[in-house]
Amino acid sequence: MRRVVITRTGVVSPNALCFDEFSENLRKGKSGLGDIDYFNPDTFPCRIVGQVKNFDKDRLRAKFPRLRCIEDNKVFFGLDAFLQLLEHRDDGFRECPVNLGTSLEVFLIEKAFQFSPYTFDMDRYVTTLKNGNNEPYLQVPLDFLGNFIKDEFSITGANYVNCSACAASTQAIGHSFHMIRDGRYDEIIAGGFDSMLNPIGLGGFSRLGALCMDNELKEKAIRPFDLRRQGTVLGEGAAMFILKELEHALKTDETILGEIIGYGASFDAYKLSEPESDGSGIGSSMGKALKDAGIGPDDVDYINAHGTGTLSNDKVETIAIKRVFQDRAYKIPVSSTKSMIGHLIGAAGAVEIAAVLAMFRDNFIAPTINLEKRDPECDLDYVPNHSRNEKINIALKNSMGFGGQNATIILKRYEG
Amino acid sequence: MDRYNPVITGISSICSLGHHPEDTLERLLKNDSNFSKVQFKSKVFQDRRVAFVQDFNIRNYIKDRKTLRFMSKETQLSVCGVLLCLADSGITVNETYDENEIALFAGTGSSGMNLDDIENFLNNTTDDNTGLFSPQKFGQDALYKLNPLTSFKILPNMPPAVAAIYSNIKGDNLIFNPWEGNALLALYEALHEIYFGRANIVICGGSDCKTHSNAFITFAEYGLLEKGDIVLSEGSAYVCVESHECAMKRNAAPYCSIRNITHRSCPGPPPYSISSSEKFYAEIIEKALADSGLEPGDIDLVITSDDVNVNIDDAENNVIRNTFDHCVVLSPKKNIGNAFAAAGFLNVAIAAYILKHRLPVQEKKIHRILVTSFSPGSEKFVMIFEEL
Repeated sequence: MRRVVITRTGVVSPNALCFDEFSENLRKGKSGLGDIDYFNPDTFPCRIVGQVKNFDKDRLRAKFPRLRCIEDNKVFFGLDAFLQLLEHRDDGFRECPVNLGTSLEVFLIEKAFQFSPYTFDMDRYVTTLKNGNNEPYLQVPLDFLGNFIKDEFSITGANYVNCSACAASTQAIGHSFHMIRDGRYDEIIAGGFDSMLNPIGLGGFSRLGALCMDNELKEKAIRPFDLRRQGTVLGEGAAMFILKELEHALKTDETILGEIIGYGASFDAYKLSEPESDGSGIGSSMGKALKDAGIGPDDVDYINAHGTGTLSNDKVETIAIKRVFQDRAYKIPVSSTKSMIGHLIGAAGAVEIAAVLAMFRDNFIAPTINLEKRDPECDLDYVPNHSRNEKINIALKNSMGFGGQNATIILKRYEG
Repeated sequence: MDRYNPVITGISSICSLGHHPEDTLERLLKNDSNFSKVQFKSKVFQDRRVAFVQDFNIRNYIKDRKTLRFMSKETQLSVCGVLLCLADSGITVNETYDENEIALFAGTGSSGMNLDDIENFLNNTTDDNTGLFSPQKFGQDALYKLNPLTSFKILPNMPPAVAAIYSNIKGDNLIFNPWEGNALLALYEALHEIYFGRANIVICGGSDCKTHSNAFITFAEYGLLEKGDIVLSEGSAYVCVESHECAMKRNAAPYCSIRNITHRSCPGPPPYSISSSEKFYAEIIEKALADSGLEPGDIDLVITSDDVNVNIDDAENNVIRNTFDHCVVLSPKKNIGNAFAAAGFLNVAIAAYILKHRLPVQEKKIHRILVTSFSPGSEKFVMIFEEL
């Protein structure tokens, strides 16, 4: 059977702007959360976010003038993560597909009223467009980044846009793994990018009741698996990877960051905003991934949880892990890297897979920070507050999306 | 692709010409159409035509009024599409197949937010002095009026995800966005899923709703509406794809077999990639025929993605005219409008229905149909279906 490895990664996250810095900050348990400064959030019920700080958007605009039509931050994060893939060498992957996960189109409300002050009037808006003021786009289609990368770098492969909410990038990477293992391609650019840190995104999520509203908690606003957890924190960012068939990777003498050995996905088919309480949905996804990898529960020595910090998610994911791993569940370290970066929605899975690769490379287990008071219903080893200098060999990564979509990827340390 | 000889065993199609494939095809062959004017207030777009799904009442399918509040029109169409497709295929979840064995791969459209729904909310967000958007005003005067369920109306994974809830499908899933070709990747990946033995059955399809004001604004901004009198539409279509072996085992009556799907990605700048290269389209058709071991003369009917009134279609039309000189050509968008993410699957459903019922088109017997999908968006397809 063909083996699939990850040879390069690019990361933009709230606590780091590249893979090396990301790894270092995960090990330190450094949080990237704080007040949003894209706009004045004083009247918003939720103001704590995982914002990417010190990101130089103008540098990308200067390099790629065509991006003048874009305001949507996620496109810039995704592009930067992609450019990181090219930093050390720019060869190959000209015929490979691009398979990216993201969530939804941002509605640029500022532009709507710039063209139509006081009261939004579509005729006034469209007439202004016709007078040549058509930049930036009010909404950027989700395939924009993939097509831009393809067009700018003469990549001829397909542009897959996975829009499976919070499971999107895990699905995109898992799907890419299957495509390479099946022999359809030798290499694929896969990953995820997202940002909902805009007034409508942050406001909409706070109305859903999914976010922690206690702004005084600052960077402790997200407390996965803690008894006092109140909700998640929205984050933003991107991670991109080059996935390659092993023999192909060895020929090009590239550093191998890890191997993907299994993937599974499922639907809860239960409710839109909360997972099935018995954990069967994400449990099914984990079971499929283990079967796909040809391994059993005893082989897994780390779980990177979806771990959003909402009441129901953390409880149900814990139940599901026990359901799949039985007694061994208590012996496997489980951590939520969202405790340091927030919930990156469509990019969450990709950035968290980058976290697993960092743990493989630098021999540590990232902690779940802000875990101070144990919840009796969340009674696994969540690696509270401090990283561990341990070598993990096989890691399982969970993602659970709005609408009940689940995805699980299993990664293995590559030993040569 | 013939290792497991995938077959289509169920179809659904909900579009402006009907809620069932037989209605759609009957009216299509009569050259009927159902276009009307836009329903939102606009002088700029008042002469644009749209194609609504007529007499569609979601409550015929879903009784629970409460749950309908979080469903966009696209989601409603998708839920019905999946339910009708499952019923048509004769599959009862957890009897015919276990719920975890049924996969759902789908495509959804862009610009899902209907601005009419949030107009009043939006207009409470401007600064009193400048008239420009004010985040402070938004947080203070508008946010509390925002329906918490709005997010569920705009997330593009919702149409198939809600359909999974109502049909109790729990298997593998993939959801693609935003154009016709991106949606058809669902069918392409479904075939690979079956071919590589990870699934025996995949419900796959697409849904879209482009009849609202947001779609018009967005497409105007992209410059798409300047390409011609494109008729924006809405609808959904799903097909049940099974391995031939499994279909036979459960005594299903397949519509047709899928002889070949050829896919190419089109170069071209975003926001939508259109190739005007006849060579590019000709090569995809040639490859599809060659990979199937067929000659142009073996094709009885070509169903095109042609939008008729849109000048980007010249290349497609020229290639089809030059390649299939004696072939019957059907261009459904001429009658049902362009439902983007649903459009490709609507054409697949039409092809499947013609083949199962051995319907003559323009008095010609149809044994094999080639369907093109060259519409806006980077992903292009040529699909060949044949009678069993």
